[in-house]
Amino acid sequence: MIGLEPAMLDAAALAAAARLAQSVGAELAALFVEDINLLRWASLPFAQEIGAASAARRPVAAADIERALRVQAEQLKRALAQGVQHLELQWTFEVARGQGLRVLLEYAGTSDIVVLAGSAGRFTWQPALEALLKSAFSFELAAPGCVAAALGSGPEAMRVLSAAHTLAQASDAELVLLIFGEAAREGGIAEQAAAWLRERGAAARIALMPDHEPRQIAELIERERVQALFWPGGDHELRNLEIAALASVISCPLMVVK
Amino acid sequence: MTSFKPLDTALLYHRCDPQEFGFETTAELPQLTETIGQQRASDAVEFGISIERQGYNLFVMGPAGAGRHALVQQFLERKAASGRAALDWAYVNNFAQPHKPLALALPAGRGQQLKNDMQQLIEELRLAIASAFESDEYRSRIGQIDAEFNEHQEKALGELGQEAAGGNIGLLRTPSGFSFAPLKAGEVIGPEDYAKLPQAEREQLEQTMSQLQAKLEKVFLQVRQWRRERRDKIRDLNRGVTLSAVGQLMEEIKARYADLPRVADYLKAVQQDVIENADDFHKGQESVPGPFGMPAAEPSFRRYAVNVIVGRGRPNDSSVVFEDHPTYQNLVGRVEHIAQFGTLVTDFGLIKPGALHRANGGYLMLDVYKLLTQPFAWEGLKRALSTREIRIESLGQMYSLVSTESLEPEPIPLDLKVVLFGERLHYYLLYAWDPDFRKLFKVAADFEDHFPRTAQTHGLYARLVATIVRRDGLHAFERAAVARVIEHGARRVGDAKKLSANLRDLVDLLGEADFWARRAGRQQVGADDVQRAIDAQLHRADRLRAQVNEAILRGTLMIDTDGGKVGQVNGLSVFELGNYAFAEPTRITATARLGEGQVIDVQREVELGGSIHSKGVMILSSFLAARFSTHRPHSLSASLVFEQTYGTVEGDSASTGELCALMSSLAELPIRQSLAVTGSINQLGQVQAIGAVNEKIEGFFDICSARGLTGSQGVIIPASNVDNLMLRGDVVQAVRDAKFSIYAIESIDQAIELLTGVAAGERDVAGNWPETSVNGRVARRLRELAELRLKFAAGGKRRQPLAPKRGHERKA
Repeated sequence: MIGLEPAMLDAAALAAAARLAQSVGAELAALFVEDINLLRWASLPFAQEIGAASAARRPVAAADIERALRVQAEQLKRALAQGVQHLELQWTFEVARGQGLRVLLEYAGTSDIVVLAGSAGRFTWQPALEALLKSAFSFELAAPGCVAAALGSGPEAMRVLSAAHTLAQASDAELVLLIFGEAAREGGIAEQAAAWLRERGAAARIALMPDHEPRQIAELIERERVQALFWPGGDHELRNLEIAALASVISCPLMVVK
Repeated sequence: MTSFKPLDTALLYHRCDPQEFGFETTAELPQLTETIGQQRASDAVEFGISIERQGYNLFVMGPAGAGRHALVQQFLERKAASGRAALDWAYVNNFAQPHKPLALALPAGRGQQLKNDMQQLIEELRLAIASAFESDEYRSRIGQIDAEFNEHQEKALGELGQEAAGGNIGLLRTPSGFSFAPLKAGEVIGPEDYAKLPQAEREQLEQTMSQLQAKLEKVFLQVRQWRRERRDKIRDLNRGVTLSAVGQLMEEIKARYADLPRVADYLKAVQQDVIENADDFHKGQESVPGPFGMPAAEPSFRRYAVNVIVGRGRPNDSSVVFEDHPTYQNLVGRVEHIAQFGTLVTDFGLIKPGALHRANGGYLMLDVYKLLTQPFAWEGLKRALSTREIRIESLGQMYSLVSTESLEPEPIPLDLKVVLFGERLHYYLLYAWDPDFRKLFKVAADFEDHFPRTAQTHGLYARLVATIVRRDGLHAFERAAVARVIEHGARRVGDAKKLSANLRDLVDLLGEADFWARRAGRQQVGADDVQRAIDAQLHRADRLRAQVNEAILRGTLMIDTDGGKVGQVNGLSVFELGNYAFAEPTRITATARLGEGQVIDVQREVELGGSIHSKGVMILSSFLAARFSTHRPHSLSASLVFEQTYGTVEGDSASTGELCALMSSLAELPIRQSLAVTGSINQLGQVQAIGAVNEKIEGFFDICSARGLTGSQGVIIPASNVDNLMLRGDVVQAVRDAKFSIYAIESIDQAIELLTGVAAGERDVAGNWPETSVNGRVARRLRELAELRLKFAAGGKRRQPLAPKRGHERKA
C-alpha cells in the first residue's frame, strides 16, 4: 500500500512501491488521504493561505479546500492509471479522510508493506504534481544508491530482508543491512541474513546500530544515499508514532513491512 | 542564236583523289589535337578565357554540331588544371542571427574535413559533457547548492514553525501554499471548538497568526531571492563544468583551423553556444513526447553541422561545370524546406548549391536558348555577374510573393567565367536589346560553318576521321573511304571548295559506315560502306521527295520535259526538311496584257509569297521597264504564277525563270520544256548565284531520267554557282554520255537564247534591237501596248502616236 497525501507526495516513494509490487507480483493499493486538519482549518472564519510561489495572502473557504483535494485525488488516480498501464500491475485507488499516517496504518490492515514518503525537507519547493508523477513512473531509482533493510530481532526480520532484496535486485541496487537494537548486540541475525543472501547469490554490506535513534538513521541514509528503507512494522517493535517520527526525519521512502 | 556549250563533267564534281593520301587506313594516322578551320573562334576562346577582367565572359556562337562544346571544354579544362585552386564553400549556423547563415571559404578539400571534424567534435562533446555532469564532483556540488538552498528554507520555515508552536499555532501545508492554524493537543481546532474559546483568546490567536503570516510572506519573498541565487549558482557551475569538458576538445579543433580566421571565429561561436546550451548535451538522451503524442526529435545538434555546398575531393579538382538545365534555382541555388507538423521549416542545412557555386573559381558553360527559356534564369545570372556575388533568394522572396520568414544566406563572392553557347541570332538579338549583355559578354567566338577545302585540310580531315574512329572504337577507314567522306563534306555545304565543319554529322556518318562494314563482315571501312551510309541516310529522309516525284510522273503535278510552250518555264524549288533538302521542278507561267506597268506576283497577292520572292519579281519588272520602256509609258500588265504550289514560296532563285517566261509571253516565242532554269536576276539583267544548286539539278534530272533521257534535257544555272557543283554520280555520268546538260550562264540574254533557241539580240548603234530577236520582239510588243494605251487614253480618238518611229527609240 502506498500512502498519497498532497503534502507528502513523493516520486521516489511511488517508484519504490510500484517497482516492488511489480517485482513480487503484488497488488498496489493507493490511498489518498484528505487531511482532516486541513479541512478543519479551512472552516475557521479567518482561514487564509499564503501562496508558496506568489507569497500572496488570500482567504480560503472549506469548499475551496474540498474542491482542491477532489481535483488532486482525480489527478493522482489518472496519473496512476496511466503510469501502471504498461506494467501489468494490479492496483486500486481509494480516498480516505483523517489524520495522514494514522488513517494509512488503519487502512493498511491486510497489506504486507506500507510505503510512506520520507518527509524530511517537506517544506522545500516541490515540482508540480504532474511532473512529480511522471518522474515517479519512470520506475528508476536514482543512481547511484542503495536499498536498506532494518533488521531487528523480531519475526518480521526475514520478511524485511526478502522485500528489500527483491527491490534491490529489481533496481540493480546495492543492499545495506541495518542491524539494530538487541540484534546488533547479539549478532545472530546478521549471520542468518548473510547466509540467506548467499543462497540466492547475493550479498550485502552490514551496519550495526545498537542505538537506533531516528536522527542517527537519517544521517546514515544521507551518507549511504539510501533510496528506500525497509522497516519492520510489528506492533511490539515500533509503534505507529515511532514510524511517524522516523518518516519525518528521513528523506527516502519508508517501506513498513508488516 | 549563239551556240552555248554545256559544262564539262570535270566541273560537275570535284573528287578527292585517294592517291593524295600517304596512308592505307586511318589506323596509321596520328591523333588530331588541333581544330580545323576554326582559328578565329579558337583565338577568341583562348583570349576570353585568359583575360582576367570583369565582363570578359564568352558567347560562343555558330552552327550546332561544329564542335563548340568540345573545343571550349578542352580549353577550359586545360586552363582550370593550370589555374588557381578553387575553394570549398560551406554554410554554417549563425548563432547570433540564425536566419542569416554564414558562408565559410576553405581551401579545396578542407570543407569536408571541417564537416567531419565538427561531427566528431559534437559526438565527443556529448560524451564529455554527459560524463562531466554525471560525475560525483558535479553531483556533490549540485547537492551542496541544493542543500544550502534547502537549509535556508528549512531554517526560515522551521523557526517560524517553532515560533508558532510556542503559541499553540501550527504551520500547515495547503494545496497551494502554507497557512497557520490554532492547535489543541496537536490537532487543528475545529470551528465549533474555536467559537467556544473566550473572545480575548480568539483575538490573541488571530493577532498572533496575522503577525506570523506577515513573517511568512517575508520568508517567501526571501525564498524567491534564494531561488534566484540557487539558479545562478547552478548556471555558473554548469558553465564551469561544460567549459572544463569542452575546453581541450575545442582547442584542438581551433588549432587545426587557426590559419582560417573566419573558421576560427565560427569555432569560437560554437564553443560559446555549447557552453550556453550544455543541457542539450547531457539531457540529450531523454525522450520528450512531442505534440499529439508524436515522438519529438532529440535536442537538435543540427546547428553545429557544416553544410558543405561545394566540396572538392582534391586541391586541383576541375571547376568546369556544364549546367544542362539552367533554371533559376539550378543556377543560384535554393533553400529547401521540410514539413514538420504541417508547417514548412528550414535551416542552413537545407541550403542547396547552384551551378554558380559549383563553378565558382572556375568556368560555367550554359546553353543560351535554355537559359533564356527558363523564367528569371537570365536575370539571375546577370545579377550574379554584375554584383560578383551569389545571393540565394527564392523567387517568392525576390518578388515579395510570400511573407513568411525564410533564410537570408550570406552572399558568396563570385569569381568565374561564364561561357554561353548559342546561335548567332541569339547573340545579335541580345546585343541589340539587352544593354547588360554587351557589358557582361565582351568576347564573342564565332564558329565557322565550313572551312576551305585544300590539300592541307584534306590531310587534317583525314586525321580528324582517324581521331573519331579511334575514340568511338570504329573499324579503321580505308583511304578511299576517307576520300569519300571528304567529298561528302563538300557536298554537305554545297560547295566544291569548302568542307563542312559540322562534326556531329561527320560522327554520325562514320558510325553508320562502320555499321555497314561490320554487317558485311569487313574489318575495314571502305568507300562503298560510306556511300551506302550516305544512300541510307537519304533513303530514310526521302519519303516526301518520292511522293512529289510520283505526282509529277503521274501528271498530277504538271511538268513538261519536252516540247515548247509560250510563257511557261520550268523553275526549280527547294524543300528544306530539317537537315535534308531536295528540289523539284515547278511550272512557272506568265501572261501579258495592256496595263499600267505593273507585274502581278500572284504568290504575293494571295500572301503565299515571301518578301525576297516579291523583291525578285519587282527587280525583273524594273529590268523590263528599264530595258524596253525608257521613253514611253511601260504599258504592260503581267501576271506570274508558280503553278500548283499550295504553300509559301520564298527566295529569288526563280526570278531568272520568271523573267524568261514573261519575255516568252511578250515575244510570243515558245520556251523549251526540256530545260529547267534557276538563278536570281538583277536590274541589269545579270544572273546571280543561288543556293542548293546540286539539289536543284538532281531534282530535274530525276524527273527527266524517269521519263527517259533524250539528250536535249538539262538545267541552266548561274555561272557563279559552278564552284558549288558536287553532283551525284548518275548525273555526272549522264552528262558524260551527252544525255543531260548543265549550262552556266551570266545574263538573261544567255538564258532566253538557250530556252527559246532564238538569239536574244543586241542593240545596234541606234539603240534598236534586231527585229526577229527575242529582245526585238519584246520591244515591239511593249511599244504596241503603249500605243494601245494611248488610244484608250484619248477616248477612242486617233491621236498622233507618242512612240518614236522605229529606229529612233533610243533617241526619243
